[in-house]
Amino acid sequence: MENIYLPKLAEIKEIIQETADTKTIRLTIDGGSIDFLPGQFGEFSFIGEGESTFGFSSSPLRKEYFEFSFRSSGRATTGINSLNQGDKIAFRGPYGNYFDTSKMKGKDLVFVGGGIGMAPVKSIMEYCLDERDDYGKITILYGARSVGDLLYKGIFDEWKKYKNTEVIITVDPGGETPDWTGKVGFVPTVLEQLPLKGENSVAIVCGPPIMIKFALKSLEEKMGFDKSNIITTLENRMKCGLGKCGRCNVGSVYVCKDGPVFTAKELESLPNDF
Amino acid sequence: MEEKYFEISAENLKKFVDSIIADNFEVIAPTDKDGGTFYGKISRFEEANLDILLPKMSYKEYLLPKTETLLEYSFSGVDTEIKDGLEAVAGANEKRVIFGGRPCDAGAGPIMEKVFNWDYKDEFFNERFKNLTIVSIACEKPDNYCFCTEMQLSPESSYGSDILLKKAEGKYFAVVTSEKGLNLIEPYINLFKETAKAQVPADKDWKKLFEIERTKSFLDKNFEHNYFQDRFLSCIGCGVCTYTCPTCHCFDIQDEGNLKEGRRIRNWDSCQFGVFTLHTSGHNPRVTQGDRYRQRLMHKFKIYSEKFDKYLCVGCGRCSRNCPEDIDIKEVAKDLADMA
Repeated sequence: MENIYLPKLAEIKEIIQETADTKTIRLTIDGGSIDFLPGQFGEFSFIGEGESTFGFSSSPLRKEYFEFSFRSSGRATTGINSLNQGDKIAFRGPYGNYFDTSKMKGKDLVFVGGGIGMAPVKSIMEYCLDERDDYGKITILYGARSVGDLLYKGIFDEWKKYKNTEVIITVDPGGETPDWTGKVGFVPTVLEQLPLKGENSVAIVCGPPIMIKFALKSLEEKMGFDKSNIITTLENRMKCGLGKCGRCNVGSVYVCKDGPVFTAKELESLPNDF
Repeated sequence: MEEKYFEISAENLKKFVDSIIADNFEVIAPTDKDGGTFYGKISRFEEANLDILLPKMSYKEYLLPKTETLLEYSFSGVDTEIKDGLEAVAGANEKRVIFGGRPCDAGAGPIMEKVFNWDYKDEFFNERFKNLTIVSIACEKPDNYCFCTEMQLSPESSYGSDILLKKAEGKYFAVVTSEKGLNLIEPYINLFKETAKAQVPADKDWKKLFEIERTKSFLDKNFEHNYFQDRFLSCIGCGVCTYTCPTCHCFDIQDEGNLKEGRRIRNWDSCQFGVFTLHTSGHNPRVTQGDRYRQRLMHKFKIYSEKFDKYLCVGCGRCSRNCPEDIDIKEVAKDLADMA
């Protein structure tokens, strides 16, 4: 008889301070990663402070560790924030559906991330970069409120090294520093200026609700992306992750089970309850 | 199992209950305490209140306790020890009988069982549910808040009961629907007299006030509707409707303890609270109380039925009886059906 709420203990292999209030934590169980697919999520906790839901931010093909990124804001995340390398994090998962790469193979890909919403995008993006030859042109657009709010700064150059891959980093107007060499502008605005076509392309979009709303509009109306080729994730509040506790319902959908990955076409059929 | 039918005198029913208590069954029945009638453990038949229509709360807490320990933890040095909370639940309470509950409460168990098993199996629920034997009594006089007939049950429904008792002149008829029920009476079978189905009084022709399918078809088409915002302006969001509901099962998971040890628990939660869906970013998909009550209606009459082919409501009317603002869910469901 299995207790589905029982976590495993994972060891913190590495902590990367991404910004003033966000970190990426790399974990291992039995010295390596776990089996998961990009887009899936888990329940992470510093035991005693409660669980939080995060999507994985690493490529599942990188077997040395699995990672997640988080902002320290409540009790549970403050607990996780206080941990050091070598400490243990309780982990349950992986849960939920995933980005279906079989529908992306051979196509041009556009990855659009906003703020900490870049975390799940990074997982599928690095997964595709790890199997670079399977895909056409890859465009990565990542934006945050300010230069100081950009996660993954240390690995932008790594992304750029892949062939036929364009990386565009932008910050909201007013968020730039004097030595900023990237773009200045909101993600949807910058997105519209890119020479993208919906034909034979798949877009993966993740970020704050307002960014998703306008980015989806740009992709559909200005660039001619088919709704079924725009994929995003819903970030509803969750507790169990197992389709029981009842708080992630959007219409008849349990985001934790039927999601968190949805196409724009699927979102269209859901009530405005997210 | 094919249903079996028995007759039992009022006197022998008392003997039966007292006998199973003597044989170490834990008998939970409506009983008077704390200034009201609640389900609770009885030590003899007389402590059961079989005249009350419905106890204040359902017996949901015997399936999904208000607080349940999922795991216990302790720290020693840098090591964390985790103890599985399921060990305490597994195998316990094997001889627990719910006696004298009503068909609505009995109907709630198999409805909840679906969500706790549709994918991942929640063995906390399953262990508790598996070990319950349910002996219900058919209602003779539902009150104005009752609407089990609209919810595909009836005051005489045996759905979810292992044994349904139907009162007759000075005696009861027992409809035994399961092996579990049969096993319970087997040792005391001399108190019962087997009879034919034809001898059991037929169910009355209970009238419906509205068709729940029409309520659903309104909800299918109207997510944004002024009705929700206007009708529930008076709702104060206390959540009593969800706590007293036999089928509401949403829960929260929290850790409590100190620097040395503690436990991870799940508690009853309520979709009527603003924090239920509040995101870390401050965004909340359900801002108004109208949004939240709509979710309760949607979950009960639309969402659940689409996923599990059952409505998440047994029509007991507790949410209405206990509502401080007298919001009557039966009236609401009827309004929606009328607008469909």
